[in-house]
Amino acid sequence: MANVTTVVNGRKYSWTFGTDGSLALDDKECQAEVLSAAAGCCTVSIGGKLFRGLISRNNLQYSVLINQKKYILDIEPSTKKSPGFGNNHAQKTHSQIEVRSPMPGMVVRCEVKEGMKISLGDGLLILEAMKMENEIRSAHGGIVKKVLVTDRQVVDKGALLLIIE
Amino acid sequence: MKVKTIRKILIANRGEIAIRIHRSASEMGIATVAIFSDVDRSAPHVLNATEAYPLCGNPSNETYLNIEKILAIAAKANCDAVHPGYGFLSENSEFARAVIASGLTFIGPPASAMKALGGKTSARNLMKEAGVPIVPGTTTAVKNSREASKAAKEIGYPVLLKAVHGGGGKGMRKVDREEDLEQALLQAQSESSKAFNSGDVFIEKYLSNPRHVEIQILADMHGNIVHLGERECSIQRRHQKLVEECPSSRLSDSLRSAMGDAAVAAARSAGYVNAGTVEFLVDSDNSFYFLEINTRLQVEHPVTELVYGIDLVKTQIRIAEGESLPFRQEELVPRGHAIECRICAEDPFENFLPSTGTIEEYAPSGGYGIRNDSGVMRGTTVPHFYDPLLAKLIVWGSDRKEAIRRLDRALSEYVLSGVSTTIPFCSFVVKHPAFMKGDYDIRFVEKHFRPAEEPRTNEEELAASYIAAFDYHSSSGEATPGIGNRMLAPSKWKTLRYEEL
Repeated sequence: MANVTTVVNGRKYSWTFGTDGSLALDDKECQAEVLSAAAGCCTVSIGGKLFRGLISRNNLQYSVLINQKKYILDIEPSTKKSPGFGNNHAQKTHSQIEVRSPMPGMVVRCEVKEGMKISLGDGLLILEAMKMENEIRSAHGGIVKKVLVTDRQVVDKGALLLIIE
Repeated sequence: MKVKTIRKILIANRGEIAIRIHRSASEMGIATVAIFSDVDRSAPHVLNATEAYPLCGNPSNETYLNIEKILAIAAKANCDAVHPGYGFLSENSEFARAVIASGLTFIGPPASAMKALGGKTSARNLMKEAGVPIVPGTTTAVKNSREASKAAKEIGYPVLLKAVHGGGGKGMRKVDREEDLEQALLQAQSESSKAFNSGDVFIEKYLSNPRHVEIQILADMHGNIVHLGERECSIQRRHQKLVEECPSSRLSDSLRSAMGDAAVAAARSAGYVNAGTVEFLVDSDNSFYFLEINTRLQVEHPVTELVYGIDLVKTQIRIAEGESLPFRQEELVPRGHAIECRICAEDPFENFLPSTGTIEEYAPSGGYGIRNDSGVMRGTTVPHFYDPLLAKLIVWGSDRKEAIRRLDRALSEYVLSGVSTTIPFCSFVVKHPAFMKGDYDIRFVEKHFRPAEEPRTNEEELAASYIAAFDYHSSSGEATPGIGNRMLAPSKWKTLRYEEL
């Protein structure tokens, strides 16, 4: 038996997967089953009604696309201690904010310098991917503590770009 | 009238368009040679070709933009023609010249026409002389921010910065205020020089609510030019088209024929041969302005093919072989309605941010009236080096209403996981009342698209929760073998008989 609790829009759903194939939602038997599960795509029946979801996962955060709408869900870390990895590419540790790359690409140029004061929405750097230049804007105000990339540097998704204090 | 026979074509492109060209060539009994960068080694465009050779490297300038490497492969493989597709070198007159200089046939217009029309400023001058109306703006590239500022002031803000040798919205920036001009100019120039090997940018008046309507033309070497009606391409983001249809829902017959005549006149004035597209902006008062001529096959060419029943790539090849057009203008009759959706690796919920990765699950839609021109399969890498277009879903219906319903159905069937795609956006468009009424312009996205405000349902939320919980459970390693994994033990629910329901 295993319990998994998801939180979506502030609502909790506690699922219990029984070893005998039974399924319960919030301790009540649930007439639902998985009809097909492929990588990143899952079709379920809930009381006979079918839903297909396209799944993308970032550690404990899921995004599931159903009927062309995106649902963002967090798995409640009941026993696990791994920290949640936000979807907003910026992670808070103490008063420092890490700005990470939302995609692989090349840093065309950095628009800020260490020690610079920035406000919410300011352009931080230009990242080129798929032949388009994308401006990465700050989701926070503060002081640029550290710039960890240089112009023309190729970065992976999730790479640490800047630290804002 | 055939002056030469093409036996083997090098396809100087990748992705869906390389496959598209291969298909027509193959049906004509012509062998195809694919070229590939390192990440594209096992891409579908490679696997389908008759022969395939590596370009070595990944960035465009080392691979699909590298004329020297491409021509060396063409020589080695004994090709007799090159098809450039769209994007990359397709509108580069130097490439066309180099292809011809190596004794090969270039499946496209003459280099001279490409040069005259490919530069947007020279095309604007040419059209001005031919009496075709153009959007107000500069007829030469601006050299620096001082010159740009002067020109923009004369034209009046907002203005649009555009790459002289550009296309597809790259190197294009809208500027609302003088203080944003310098930065925008730098960005446009830098993007343009990378994408098109030229940093030249000119300035045009920004029209507020125009529709983007383009006319497909075909011209042979013997002076015959026809048009194949219009494509309505107003659904765009970042100046790149996402949904295109044929015919346009708002063009009257008289406007259609006026624009068709203007397009044919434009092509004739440039000495045009082969397939081309004349793009116009149509203002709310139905006056139309020449935008540019795309001297190549367009991404959205399939909607015209479905409505006119003509294979444009085969026609391009026949024209390049010296054949006359097999039809006259009056024989070209549109039938039904076609709509194309571009499936790009972008996240519409994150302002169309590019999405890279590996395609995990891929099951495109099918059925009557559906065409899927795709460049991917399960396991295909979507790299950050190239354009984000993965596939095009094109539907045909006996009328616009049926085409819309069919597209809606086909989009809900389409499965592509592993990267984010524009499918949810396309689905939003075809369901939107403004689109259904045919009442939209190029500001559709900014006016209507608010993905976060789409109504959610409790049922969907529950299903999403179940799917996430199941996936987490299956991957956590705690799952009992056979349960919560790919193979499921039959649940009680599954074995219920219908009487017990």
